[in-house]
Amino acid sequence: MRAQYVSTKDYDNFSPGREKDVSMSAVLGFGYQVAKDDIKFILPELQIKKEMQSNARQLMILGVLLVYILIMLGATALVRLVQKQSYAANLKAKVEKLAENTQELEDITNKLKVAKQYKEPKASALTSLYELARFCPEGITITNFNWEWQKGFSFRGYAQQIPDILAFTNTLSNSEYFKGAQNRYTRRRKVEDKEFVDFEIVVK
Amino acid sequence: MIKLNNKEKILSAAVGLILVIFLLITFVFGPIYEKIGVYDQEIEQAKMIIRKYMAYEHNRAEILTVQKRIEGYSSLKGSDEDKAAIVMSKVEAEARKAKLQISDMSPAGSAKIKGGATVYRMQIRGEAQMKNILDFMSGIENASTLLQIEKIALSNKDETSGVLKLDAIVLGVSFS
Repeated sequence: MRAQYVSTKDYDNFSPGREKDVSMSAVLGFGYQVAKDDIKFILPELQIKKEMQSNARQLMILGVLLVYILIMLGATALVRLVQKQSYAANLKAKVEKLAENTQELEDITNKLKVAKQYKEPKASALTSLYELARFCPEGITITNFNWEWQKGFSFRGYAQQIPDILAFTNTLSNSEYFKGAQNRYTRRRKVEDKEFVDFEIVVK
Repeated sequence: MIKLNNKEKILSAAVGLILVIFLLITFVFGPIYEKIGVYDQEIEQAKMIIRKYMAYEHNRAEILTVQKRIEGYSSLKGSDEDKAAIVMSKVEAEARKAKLQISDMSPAGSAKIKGGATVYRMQIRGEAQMKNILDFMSGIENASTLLQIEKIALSNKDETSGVLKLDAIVLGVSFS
């Protein structure tokens, strides 16, 4: 390409007439990356030393940060421990103070709990007898009654017919008080031309 | 001094770091959190006790009213023998009141139960009509001392008289 002097005035008025007048290298120059460090003035040993110093400094910062985090964690845990210790001590003192006033009430309540288990209607032989008498039909005669606290009871008796006994057992087992009543056995026996059926019913 | 290359330095730094963390967890954070756990348990227990005591305080009037009704239950005093004797005399008194014919009556031992109470057992054998036995049972259950029928066996003495044989264990509860 031919070099040509262009004055400022001419440059303003310059218009390329032909392709030959345009320099492509100037346009391509914009597309290339600017070369850096092409020429190094520092010795490689010094460069490595510098990098080592930089790495050491970064490691040092990292270490200090880590130590700082650990110290903060430790301090937080210690503060929490002291807080819990103090709160527990406060509560303990409050419990001791309350215990002085309410010990008597606790003793009474314990007595009541014990008394209640003996005074429950279910824990009464008298109630069992009363309930049994309520459900017992005329055709049934009870001859033996065995009752034990918290263990249920059983009774023996006789009737003239087995269906009477079965109906009685059904009535008992369907009632709230004698739930689970079971006929343990029925046995026929004859007394002077009359026939009776002995039975035993268990309630648990 | 041994000179380490870069990889060895990184490795030893990592091992050192892990070691430091392990030591910190074992000897610093571990014991601290363990102790915090112990205090947490203590706090929970204390809170439960406080809630219980608050409930007692809340129901103070009611508890004291009920206590008056069961004051007689604490009437068994003295040594074990004294208490057993009191229970026996109470049972005998109820039996006589109900016109129960006592054929045998003897102590059947004592036992400690939950709530710091002691029960004294009495075995009683006798005979009576059904009505008298019911009176006796009612007398036991409504006695001023805490008496309770623990075991009872009723059976016909014979088929004609209507007299029943009674074999029972009555227990008296002592709170002191």
